[in-house]
Amino acid sequence: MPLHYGSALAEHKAVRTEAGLFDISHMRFAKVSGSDAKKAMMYLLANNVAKLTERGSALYSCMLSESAGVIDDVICYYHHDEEYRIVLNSSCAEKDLRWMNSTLSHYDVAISDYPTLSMIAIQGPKAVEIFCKTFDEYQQVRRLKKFTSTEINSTFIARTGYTGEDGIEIVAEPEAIINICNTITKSTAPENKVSLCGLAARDSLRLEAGLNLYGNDMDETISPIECDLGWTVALDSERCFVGKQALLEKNKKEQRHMKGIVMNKKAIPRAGNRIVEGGIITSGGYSPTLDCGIGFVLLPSQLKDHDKIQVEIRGNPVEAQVSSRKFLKQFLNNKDRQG
Amino acid sequence: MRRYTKTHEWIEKSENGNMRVGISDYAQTNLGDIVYVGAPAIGATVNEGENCAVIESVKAASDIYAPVSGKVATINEALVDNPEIINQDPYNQGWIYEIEDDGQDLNTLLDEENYNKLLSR
Repeated sequence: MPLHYGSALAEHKAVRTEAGLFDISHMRFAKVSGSDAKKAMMYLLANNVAKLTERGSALYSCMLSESAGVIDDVICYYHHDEEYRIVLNSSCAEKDLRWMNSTLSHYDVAISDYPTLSMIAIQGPKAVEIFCKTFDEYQQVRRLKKFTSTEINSTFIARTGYTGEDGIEIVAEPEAIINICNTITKSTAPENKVSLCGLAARDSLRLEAGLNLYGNDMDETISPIECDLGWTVALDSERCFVGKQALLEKNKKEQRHMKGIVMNKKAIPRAGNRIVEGGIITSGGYSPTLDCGIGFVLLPSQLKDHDKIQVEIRGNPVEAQVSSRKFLKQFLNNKDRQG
Repeated sequence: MRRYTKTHEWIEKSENGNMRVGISDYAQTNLGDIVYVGAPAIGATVNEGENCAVIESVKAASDIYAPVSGKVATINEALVDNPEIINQDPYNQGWIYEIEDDGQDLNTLLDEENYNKLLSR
């Protein structure tokens, strides 16, 4: 996936208003199967896969280390009690697989990964409609519930995404994916337009949607609570999972907090920029929807929305406001209230 | 006569007697969508070859280097609300700042032919 195909801003807008196509083949599709698959996944992931009872249903989870640092964030899809599918971040795939193999060695499971499969995402308010109009064989995708998946003719399709919009992610053999891409981008009718989108748009879209990026917002030195992923950790039962003990210990102490920031002036915060009052920007960039700089900030203390902080950008302090990380949601809510 | 630097800035004498500075078409294409321009302060001295301004595109911040030294006379206010003008019209409406004409020698910079040669390498 290149940085952009002409204009990162136009691609961002396309996903927010119509549909965009991303080549995400760098992501790794893997399976955990065997008689102990369910027990193994309940141990491996901080979120509880026992919640998933319908074929195709999915959840978002962190995979923690013994010291409750984040090894990766994943989406896990339930096929049946003896088979789960999991999508790993490309930069972590090899590490994750080694970790899974060693951590689950005493379970009766086979861990297989599929590096040669291709993956794309079609995202936007018209993504599903255009996809189903274009391909007769995928009609049932219209009825696919959010955060669930299905398999049609060896093509795995999930109603998930990384943009904050409705859409699907598709995993299949390269020829099938190429065929889908060529067909869906061929239409010249404006109502069927699907724009090719690159990395820059992918980043600005997920930033606006408040979605974490592994490597920026968390790594093995950060706990899920600190990077605002506490909601993905299921602590409500006796279930033992990797990192649980360490996490409970950490929860007793003061931890860092992740919030959003909105720049007051037209300056752009970037990952690594320090906060004058303490803290650091983990992800930052320009928000086309809000028309200003936004970012995620890791703060030493609990700050409230609208608290003022200063971001050190190129040596100068620039004023910003603490906010929710759900920039898009908040922007749309405010628009509704004013409208 | 517009002159260019190896770092893709341009400079030329403007009608009001100042010298006007911007970035080349090659630069704006490579930067992608420009979303913020951090121009130098009016009255500040910029030094040849040193960072004098910053241009933020969606993905990254890029330093702009002063083609020649001088005192900043004006900046292009239109870029505050519409930084994308640089993408649309890098040589005219997309100028970034002007310095006072102090007889600075522009002949040491690349002319258009040599700048284009640089790009085609």
